[in-house]
Amino acid sequence: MTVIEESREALDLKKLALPPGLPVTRLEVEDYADADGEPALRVLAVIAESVVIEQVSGRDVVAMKSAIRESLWQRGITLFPYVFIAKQSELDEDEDEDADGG
Amino acid sequence: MHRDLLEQAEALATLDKGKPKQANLRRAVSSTYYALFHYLVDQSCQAILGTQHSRRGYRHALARAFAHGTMKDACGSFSGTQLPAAIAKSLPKDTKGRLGIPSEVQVIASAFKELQQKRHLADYDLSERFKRSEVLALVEQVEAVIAQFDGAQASDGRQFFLACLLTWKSLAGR
Repeated sequence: MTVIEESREALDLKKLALPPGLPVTRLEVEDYADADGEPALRVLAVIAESVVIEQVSGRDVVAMKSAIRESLWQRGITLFPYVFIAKQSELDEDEDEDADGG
Repeated sequence: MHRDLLEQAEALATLDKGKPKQANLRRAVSSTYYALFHYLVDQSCQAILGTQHSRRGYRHALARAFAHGTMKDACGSFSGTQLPAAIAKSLPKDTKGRLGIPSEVQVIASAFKELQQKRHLADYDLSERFKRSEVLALVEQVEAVIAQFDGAQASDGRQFFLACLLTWKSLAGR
């Protein structure tokens, strides 16, 4: 099993203990390298449209990212996960812009 | 300084009523990173030189010696499950043989490593498209890790981490 396949299993939403204050609808993971070329993981956490991000507690953000890191560690994956947060509507906006050539 | 930078980041991320301009989100990410950078440098200088007002000038002079790359490398180790063997061998362990890296150190080190990479993307990589959710979550995350660090009790592990932010390059290279 590749590291990415193993990571996807580690980041199964049904098994992760994520904070209820920051509902995640989808997690995507891919190979990544940071600015120094160090191998890492890039994780996209798609959050529910209903989330009012201004009202999300920083502790929930920390808890979500810590849960992701710890689940990877438990599988022996020590690559650093760079977690990016977005709503599906924000991702769709980018796609619309790309389609318009903007 | 760090509070003003976080306020600035939040203001920039919420400045545009509709779809946020990438320039505002990118500057917000950069300000968020620098808030954490200056906070950690200040904490480290206080740990090394003390907190007396009379030593403020010495702390400001020492603060200029901190290097972003060195801090990132130190934080990469402290955010993980173990430190390099050459460093870890002389450190005290708990009854299960684990290093006593306090949780507030682990989360702030992890946040620093993450923020430095995102600051790099924000300042240099135009292919990266930042989202308002991402940027505001980063601001909240940094506020939370600083509050946790401020609220935690002093410990040897924490002092060692703060000293390593300045000395990691020579320490890890031995």
